[in-house]
Amino acid sequence: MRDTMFHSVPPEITQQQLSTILEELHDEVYVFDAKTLQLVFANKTARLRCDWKTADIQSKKITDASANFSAKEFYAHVEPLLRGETETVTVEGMHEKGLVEISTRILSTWGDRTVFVSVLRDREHRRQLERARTQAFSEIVHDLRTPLTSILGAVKLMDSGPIGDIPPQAQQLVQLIQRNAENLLSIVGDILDLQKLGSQPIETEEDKEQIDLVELTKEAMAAHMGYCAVHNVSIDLLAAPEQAPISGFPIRLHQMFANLLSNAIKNSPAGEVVHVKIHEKDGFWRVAISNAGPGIPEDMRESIFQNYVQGSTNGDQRVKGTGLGLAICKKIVKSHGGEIGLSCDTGDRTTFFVKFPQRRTSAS
Amino acid sequence: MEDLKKILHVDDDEDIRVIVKMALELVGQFEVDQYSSGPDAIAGAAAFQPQLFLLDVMMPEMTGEETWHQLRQIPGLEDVPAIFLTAKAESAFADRLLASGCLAVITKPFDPVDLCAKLSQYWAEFQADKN
Repeated sequence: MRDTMFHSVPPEITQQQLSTILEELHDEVYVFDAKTLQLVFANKTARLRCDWKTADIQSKKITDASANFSAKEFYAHVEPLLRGETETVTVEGMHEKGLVEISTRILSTWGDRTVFVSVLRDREHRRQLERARTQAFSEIVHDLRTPLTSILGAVKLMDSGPIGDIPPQAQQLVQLIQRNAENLLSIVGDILDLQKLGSQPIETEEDKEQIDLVELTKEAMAAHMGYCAVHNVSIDLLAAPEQAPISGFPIRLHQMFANLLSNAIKNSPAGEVVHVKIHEKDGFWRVAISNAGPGIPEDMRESIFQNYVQGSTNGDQRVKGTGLGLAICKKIVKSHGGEIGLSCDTGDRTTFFVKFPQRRTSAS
Repeated sequence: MEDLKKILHVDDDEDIRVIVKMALELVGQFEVDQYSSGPDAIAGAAAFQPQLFLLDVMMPEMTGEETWHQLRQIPGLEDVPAIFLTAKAESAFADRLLASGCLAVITKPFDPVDLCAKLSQYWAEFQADKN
């Protein structure tokens, strides 16, 4: 029985029109026999790059399309297609024209003959755009940090004595400048982080390390003791197993904890305690961080993890943030196959939780 | 151990030069020679005979790394160490600079009051390594 990808095409679109669309695509399209690798069709973009005429096609094989083409690697790559395990196989690699993505699927089968279609898409352009974007971000951040260095440096020198005493009212203004410049600097840092997390991942799966989430949480808490003192808040680990093994990126997880813990600390009323609990639940380790305080309005709980959304609405200058911290946390948690959420239903406390898949150890 | 007294600072940003000069002279009591570009620093360094170079990295005419390389060609300054100041926050960038043999990379914004303490600490470590 013949099976073709053109089955459900409306009758007003002719086979001729479909061929024209294929012919004019910017991607290279190759149709070829799965067994002999003999070409049946190559569209204009493919012919132009390979420097073939239409009449050449019948004497060419797909292996002629690239000097790097290995028939052995190709058969290993399309094995899942032939076994019926998947509809499309895709590979990204370097080609004569730079970085390309090649997707292959079965176009038709009849009898024992199978015909493949491979689409080769140029990724070089996208990669160059990505590089240009990263470079632009890096330069913008550099250009913002330089004047902030001058502003913060100047106020620090005025505030800390080397140039002599300044009147109390001027000191108040100096502190105002310092606070706002530090806010700006924090925004610049968050934008840089978000850009990094939003572009190609810096770390790959192979970079993941074996981590004890309990130990990492304790380290993060210890790193925030100074910040607790500034806000007159304390922090307590109320419950935790002996160990909570996960696979992850320690720097990213510390970055996530820095956001969640600093939010909890700065949103706590003075004299209160931030609670941290670690539990096992349904194959995940769940870390909950809760603080007393104003809470997140119900209509904002859905959007709180989006960029530039700020949860606190009490107008307190102390709790101003950039609105990017939780969006960064969400990206980090997702890159670990985990979840992040919020609950405000336990009395007057707001609880943020993160969940990470448990890593199986030899003992388990 | 030789005390740190003379620092040559290069930064193309005038405001940063004001802050650094004030911090190094008022807080650290150092003697500071400042330039707004690598070529100017190369022209003036021999007369000042600095013990330490404090260099901005991204400058239009000549980068901090190139400036250091050229400064070390000047007779008598071959062994003068460098500390880089940079507003580029990427850790890979700092690692690359450290691999070039500098004493340290300080990221902007820096605390001008702490800057002197940091320079003194890196200088002490450098002296200890030398002996």
